[in-house]
Amino acid sequence: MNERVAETRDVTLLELLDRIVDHGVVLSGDVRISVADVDLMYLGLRLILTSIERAEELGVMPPMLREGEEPR
Amino acid sequence: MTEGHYVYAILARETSVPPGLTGIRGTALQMVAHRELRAATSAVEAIALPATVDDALTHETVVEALRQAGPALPVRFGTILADTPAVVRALAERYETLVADLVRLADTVEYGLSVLWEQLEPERTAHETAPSQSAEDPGDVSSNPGSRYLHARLAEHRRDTLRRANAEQTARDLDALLRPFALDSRWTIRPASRIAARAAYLLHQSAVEPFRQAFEEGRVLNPDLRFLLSGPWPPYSFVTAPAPGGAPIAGSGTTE
Repeated sequence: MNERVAETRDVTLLELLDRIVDHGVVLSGDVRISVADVDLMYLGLRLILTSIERAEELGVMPPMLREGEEPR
Repeated sequence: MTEGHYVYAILARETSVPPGLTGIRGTALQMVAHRELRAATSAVEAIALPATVDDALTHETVVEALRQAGPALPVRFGTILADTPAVVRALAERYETLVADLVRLADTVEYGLSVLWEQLEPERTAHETAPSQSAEDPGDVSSNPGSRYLHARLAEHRRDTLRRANAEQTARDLDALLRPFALDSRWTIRPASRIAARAAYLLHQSAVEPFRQAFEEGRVLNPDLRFLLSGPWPPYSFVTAPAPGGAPIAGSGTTE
């Protein structure tokens, strides 16, 4: 997989995570969401920071965070 | 070791499952039926499922493969039910809604749109630009730290108000361009320094190309904005959500 495809995949992965974690059919009854989801969200946050840099290189979007700026 | 049923999607009973399709950690798919519905599931260690990127990708792979075979409602990632009777109860509890959604969302896809801007700060007042130029007048409130704080907060509020107004107008303009090609849309307007707004659009599969053409028109018409369009996705954002108390909520609108 070349670098550009990998970078595009990072941005796509963020869009995927945004959908499948927060949306979709909700089923009730004995639903147990593993607490390890925290790891996934942490990973998602890291991907957000990483993908912003790569997306900037692609010219897709400007940097969302300046150096030292806290995410909102 | 306690096992549970990881649920990927809800299908119509007659929909065939692609041969060889496996779930998380390579487990075999199991169909749990209730009346005219089936839930696509696989066995997982119920308590200790560490969610990884690979799990997320597998979830999506299974959902998309099932949608190739027929209408399928994507289930939220990480949904694990205790056992087969629990899956059946879950299908029964929302049976009519799930059946209606299968019909409503058949042959549809979702597109995601993020709108970013190069934010221009609104014109600052003379007080904001020179709050400390008050030495000549001992009564000048700008020399008062409390007053300076309040004025700064007021200025921030005004900037946020202007930013939000700009974001809302941008969303209205873009939605006017794209909505004719969509079955439904959901906008989220929480403007930040770079993100103006985000949206999800529900399209019939036949409308994808004209929608993308309209999007390209919008891109050309708004050279001061940047866009991120993703899709097609299964219609995660447009399944009917249960309201507090159990009654389903459906329909379009703007969320904030």
